Amino acid sequence: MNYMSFALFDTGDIIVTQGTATGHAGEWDASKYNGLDVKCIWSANTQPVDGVQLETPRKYRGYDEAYGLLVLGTTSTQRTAAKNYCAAQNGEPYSVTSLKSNQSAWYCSKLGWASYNYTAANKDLDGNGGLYVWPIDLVNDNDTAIFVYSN
Amino acid sequence: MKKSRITIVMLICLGLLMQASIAMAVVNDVDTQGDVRKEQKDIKHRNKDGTVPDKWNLPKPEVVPHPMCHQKARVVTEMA
Repeated sequence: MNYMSFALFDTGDIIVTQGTATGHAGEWDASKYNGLDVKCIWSANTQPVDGVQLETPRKYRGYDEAYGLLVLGTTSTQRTAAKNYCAAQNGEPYSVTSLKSNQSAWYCSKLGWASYNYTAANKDLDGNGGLYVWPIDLVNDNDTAIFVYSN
Repeated sequence: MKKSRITIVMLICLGLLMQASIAMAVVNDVDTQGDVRKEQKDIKHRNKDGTVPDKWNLPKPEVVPHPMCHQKARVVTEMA
């Protein structure tokens, strides 16, 4: 569990958590934020439904560590476009083995990565450029900065 | 009949091989990032009003190739 504060989060910011084998990641939608139990984070998961969906900030407090990431060198318009990209995939299926080039099946960190790679921001946020983009790759990338952390 | 059985067995083997290669790719990706652990990275502080300090948004410096790179390239060309 962590005590992440969500006060400074803005649309397009990325949340990465650690404490499980792979960690978890999601992208903030400020227009939907209204407290810890209101779904406002775009991610992909296998439950409660399979696929791209909104999750609550409280869920992200359930992990050992949490990072708030800002994508450097982007405008708010670009960050909003990234968030809109996530929203546009709502309901598409979850697949942890889907390649980064596949824009119709998702895992949590790939959604956030793709939202910046395939939109106007044009940023590749995979820190090691591997075949898969793990949540921690988003933290390690040079185009992201940690603006809040909690454990 | 035998041919179809052989084909089925071959398809199953191919499927298993593909799954194994995907698993290996996942493991390799994990390995390359140093045990899936974070690198040391400073926490930058956002402004209290939620905006980002200007210095965060400075464009990255242009990458200037090291003189040695040119030198090496020239050597390679000459050798070729």
